[in-house]
Amino acid sequence: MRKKIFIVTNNKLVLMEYPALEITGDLDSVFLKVRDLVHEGYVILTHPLSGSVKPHETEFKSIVLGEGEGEMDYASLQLIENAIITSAKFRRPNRDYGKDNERIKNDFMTIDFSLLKTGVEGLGSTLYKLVKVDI
Amino acid sequence: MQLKIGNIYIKDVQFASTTEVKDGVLHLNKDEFLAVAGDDERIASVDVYLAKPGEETRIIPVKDVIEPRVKVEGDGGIFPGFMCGVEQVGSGTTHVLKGAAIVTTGRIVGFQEGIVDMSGPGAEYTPFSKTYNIVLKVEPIDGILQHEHEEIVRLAGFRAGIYVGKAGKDVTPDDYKTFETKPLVQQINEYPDLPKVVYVYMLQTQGLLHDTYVYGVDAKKIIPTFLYPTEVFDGAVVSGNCVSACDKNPSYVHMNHPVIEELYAKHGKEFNFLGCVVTNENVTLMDKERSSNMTAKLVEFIGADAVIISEEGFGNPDADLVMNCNKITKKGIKTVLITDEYAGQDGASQSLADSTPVGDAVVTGGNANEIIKLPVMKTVIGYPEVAEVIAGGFQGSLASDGSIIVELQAITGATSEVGYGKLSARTY
Repeated sequence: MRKKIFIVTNNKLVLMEYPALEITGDLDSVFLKVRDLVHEGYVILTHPLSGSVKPHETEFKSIVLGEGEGEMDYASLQLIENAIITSAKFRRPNRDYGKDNERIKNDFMTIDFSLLKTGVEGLGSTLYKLVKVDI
Repeated sequence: MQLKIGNIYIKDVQFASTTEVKDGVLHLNKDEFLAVAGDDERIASVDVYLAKPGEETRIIPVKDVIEPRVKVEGDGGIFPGFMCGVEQVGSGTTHVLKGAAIVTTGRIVGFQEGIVDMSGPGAEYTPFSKTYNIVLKVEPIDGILQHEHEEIVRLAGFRAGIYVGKAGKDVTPDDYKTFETKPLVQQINEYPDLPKVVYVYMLQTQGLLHDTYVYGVDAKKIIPTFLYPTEVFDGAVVSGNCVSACDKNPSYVHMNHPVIEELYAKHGKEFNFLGCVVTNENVTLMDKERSSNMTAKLVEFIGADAVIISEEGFGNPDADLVMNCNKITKKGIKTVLITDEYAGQDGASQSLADSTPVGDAVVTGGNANEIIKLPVMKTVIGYPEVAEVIAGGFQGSLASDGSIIVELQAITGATSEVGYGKLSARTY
């Protein structure tokens, strides 16, 4: 039977295209929600630090999680804890790009969306079924 | 497989009526060059500028750097899968216009990076301050999205590289270097007493603006495979990676791969260099598991005693680096890792996003968070207005006098993870 997987995101472009769990907030809000879900037994399927645009240079993040095996997955926990540590290291005041703000935001969203799409396609539909969750 | 590289040393580049190399000077017919580089219906305009070592010139934002090369003997051509068919490359003779480079610039996304300063303190951090640069500025037609924009700029750079490279076809090189790797069993038997070394060549393959191609194939879709090292010198691996200027490998660096060149330099003396395993850095954990399993299996199958593993990028790729290291070590094969660091502006933070106790031999390309002040330059080629939106910069990066304070991550090639730079660290 295919395992149920779902997306956790704060990126509007992703929400327009996929069923996903919407997070209102910044990168850390996404990471903290994912950490909570890992403690509840879900596993991480795409790397939280996807993309070379650094944490807090972009605040947009989408991560795919899936049903676990019942017990907490320590590999997933380590991934998300390391991502949270990395995020703290890169934290700095939000930049104001002036007139370019909206365009740059859109570029960051587009990159996150594209990397997420690559990940979802990479996982395929043989083993996994993408679902909308309410958790 | 044997490849003879004929180096034609370029001492200057000038615009002229005919494209040719005369007495070490590269003459470039601007109109012809622009016609070839701009030959894509998706391009609205192209322009070309020259930037030479020592000039007070800044190029920003740099997307890719390409070395002009031409195949004069042997199968295939430069950039197989893109500029010619997919014949096996890496044998015969290839001429190189050593010292010349095509540098592409384009405003693919709003935030920008990739600074090359031709003089001043910034020049010390990029290898492309030492090349005679032909800077190609590409503007696409309206309505082109980011992924297509990246492809347009990338292909324009390759066309430019091929066009300029052809000027070296009938020129007698100043020197030759020959590189040879034999079929596996013969290669192992040639130096039976030396340790056998394989290079695990990790490629950035996360998706949009984070891609690398092998013989024209998007490398996130490959299963790790074997390459004769000489294939790389003919452009079998090229960059479509526009993000993280300091530690991405431009196509030029793939073509002049310093790890491969160094392994060849000690081949038959200190060890027996068997070849390269190319692998990827995808975003799913499943891909990471599959690729690292395949990589470990391949290097064991080939018979390696030791491997060098280099990664490209930070964060997500650190997971692949660690998986490769763990799985290869578990097979009883020694590993040396090459990476760079994001250790904070003071260098005191943890350097990578992942780690492993068996990663006990690591070479660093430097700390990408280190701060540098770049003075005002007389000339800015590319898109000077983007200086305010530099990745690796921060609020207030641009001072009122026009100087920029940025992290090294904004400078092209500053913390190269294959060692095509000057930074490292030693433990005494």
